[in-house]
Amino acid sequence: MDFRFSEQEEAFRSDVEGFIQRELPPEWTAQNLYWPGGYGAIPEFEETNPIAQQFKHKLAEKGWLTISWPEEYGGAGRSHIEQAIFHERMSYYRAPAADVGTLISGPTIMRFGSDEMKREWLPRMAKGEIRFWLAYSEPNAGSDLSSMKTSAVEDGDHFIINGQKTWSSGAHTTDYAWMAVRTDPSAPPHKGISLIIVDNKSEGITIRPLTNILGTHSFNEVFFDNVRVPKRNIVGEMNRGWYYLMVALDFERLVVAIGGFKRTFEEILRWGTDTTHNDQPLTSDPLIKDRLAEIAIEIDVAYVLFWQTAWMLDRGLVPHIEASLLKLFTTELSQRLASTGMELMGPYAQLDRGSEFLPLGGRVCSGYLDCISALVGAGTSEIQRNIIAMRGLGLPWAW
Amino acid sequence: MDFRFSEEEEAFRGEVREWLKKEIPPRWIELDPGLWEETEESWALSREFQRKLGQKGWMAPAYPREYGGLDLGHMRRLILSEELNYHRAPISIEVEISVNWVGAALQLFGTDEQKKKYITEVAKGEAIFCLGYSEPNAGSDLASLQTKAVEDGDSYVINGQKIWCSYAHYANYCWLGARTDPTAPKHKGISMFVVDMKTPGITVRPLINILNRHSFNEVFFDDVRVPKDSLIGQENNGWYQLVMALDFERSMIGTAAVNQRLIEELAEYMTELRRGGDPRGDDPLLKDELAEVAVQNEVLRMMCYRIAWMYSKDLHPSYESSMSLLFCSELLRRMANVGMRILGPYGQLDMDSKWAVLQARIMRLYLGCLSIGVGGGSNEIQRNIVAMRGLGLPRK
Repeated sequence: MDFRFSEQEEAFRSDVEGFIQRELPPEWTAQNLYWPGGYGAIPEFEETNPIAQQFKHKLAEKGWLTISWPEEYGGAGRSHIEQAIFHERMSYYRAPAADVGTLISGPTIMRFGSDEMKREWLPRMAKGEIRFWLAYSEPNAGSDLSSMKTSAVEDGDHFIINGQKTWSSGAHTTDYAWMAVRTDPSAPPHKGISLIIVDNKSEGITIRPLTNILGTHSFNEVFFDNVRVPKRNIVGEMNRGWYYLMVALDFERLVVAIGGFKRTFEEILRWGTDTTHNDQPLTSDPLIKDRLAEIAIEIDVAYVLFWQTAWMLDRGLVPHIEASLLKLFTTELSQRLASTGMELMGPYAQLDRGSEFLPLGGRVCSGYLDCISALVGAGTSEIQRNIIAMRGLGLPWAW
Repeated sequence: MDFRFSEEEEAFRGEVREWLKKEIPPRWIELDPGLWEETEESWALSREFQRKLGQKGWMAPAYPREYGGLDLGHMRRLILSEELNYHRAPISIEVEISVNWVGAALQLFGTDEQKKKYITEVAKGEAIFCLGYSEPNAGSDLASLQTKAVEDGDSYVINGQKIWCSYAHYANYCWLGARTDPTAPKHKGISMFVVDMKTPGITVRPLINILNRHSFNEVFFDDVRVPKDSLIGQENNGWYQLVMALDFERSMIGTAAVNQRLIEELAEYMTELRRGGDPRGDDPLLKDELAEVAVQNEVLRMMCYRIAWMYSKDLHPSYESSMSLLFCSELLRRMANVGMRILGPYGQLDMDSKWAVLQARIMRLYLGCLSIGVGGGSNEIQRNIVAMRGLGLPRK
């Protein structure tokens, strides 16, 4: 056991820190309302923002969008621990440093895709040239994802896709759907699903906005009417998609913006110390101290879980249960952090965006709304507990 | 709406309080047996006290006069129960079982003869009941109980095993659920009986509880022959009768007064610490937590009042009782935890230590409260009932 980072890892951390100081405009971190564990605020501040695009371009030049990928696919060929160090620092500054392609689709293709597919897609993801959205949920398939109905039927060199996806974050700002479709309707639900990449520009795709709780357009409904997709876009083997999807979901659940927790907590803490009531800092109140200490402990726990999953990946282990555990713990922590912030700030935190009295630029109020999304996305808390019970503890499946 | 008690009711409360001052034996206060802590000595004291209470008509004050009550109504029953509980009179769950769960069910389902016999004995403090519900393989799924009663001439012959039977070693009678039709669906083949515990074939074996006391038992029935008139109500209608008795059991009337007393004692303890210069007495976290518990106990009190009021209007509380039991069981755990934090390491000492605080009541509650939340239906069962009967959500 060794809880220290190596010299090389510490040096890399300094490099990352230096890069951020040089390249990220200082006001970015303060203005970006990204809340750890939420994602409703991302599109407004990031995906349509030229500063974000520029920053990501510079990261891509260094291979840092995909730190742990091999150099032949545009990565930096570094360890997962180093990648984790990178993401910790980036999320601490709320920097735009990753996307669905680099975090979810890419690693899944690396594991299950053909060599041809790897060569075709991975370098472009690593350069930040193409971006993906997740086409999983349907109006009647959420927690019971395997009951999805959107179909892909073979027709010569193509599949023809018909159906509907929903809660599709960023479908309107990205280029490709990373999509689960039913390719064998006669097989049991889990055995007739395939993963396929679909170009947003294909004919027959209609994207309709769903405005989220923050008043932001992040979600969409996406309709597929006879959409033709080349067969070579299928990931791995046909009808094995469910198994790839489970791994892709593990990768998704490892994305927790760990540094964002620390940063946001520090800001709340500083606000509470700088704000006085009867000439005393708010944080001198024992009840408040107690609550803040509790959150600080939990953030530390989340950090240890986070490093552990990176360590596992470096050893070729797939953190199945650990991914669910990390996702569950951090998303629920996100909610506790927001509630604690709201209570600390009292009525001021409940003012509408734009008010001069709003503490921290409305970050906490926005987070209080935003944190709800992560308790559902990538599998609800109940699903994570099921996974931990069944895969982790070996308890029986039951409905 | 009127949240006050009437002048007459307040006068009654005063009368009860005066009487209790004289009648609670000092030795009982010394022994201070809490939940599931009876000893031979304390049991003898409580039986004597309960007979006195019965002679006064206060064991079962809401019962009709012909069955040993005073027909005082359920609001006075509530007041009496609050006073008995607050002053830690020698009554415990055995009174609840006998008077308010089984006795109340017998009033609904028994024949005149059965009522006269059993209910009157209970109201006089002469007899107590134990419950024959749970079995080794039938707890939350109570309807799957296997103990069977088979007709044989003028008798039923009972075979099987019951478990977690509180006070079965003292009880005069057992209020027993047994299967009378093994071919019917499980809820439709159960009947209720009153079985004399002296009947040959009954074996009572102690289960020593977490407080190291004998309160629970296993009870075995081997060819136990009981007369036909031991059957209560209709044959195979037992599940319905049992569920009604369980609603009575979950009412928790009077429990807020038990908690009230303890909360006051904890508050006094903190005040004394403060006077002595001990910072724990002024600890804002502890004050906050104790206040939280006090708030919740007021909520519980309102639930109990509503249930008593429903009884007084001949309304049958059903999911309301489940809410009450659920809320009470979780409150007891919180109260024990808060108490433990207030008392610090002293709270972990047992009564025999000279450093014990509040007669080690918190430590004993911490252990004893675990049974509430299982007995009378687990918390999960209560939530199911609230969901199904209260909110009309579908059965699974």
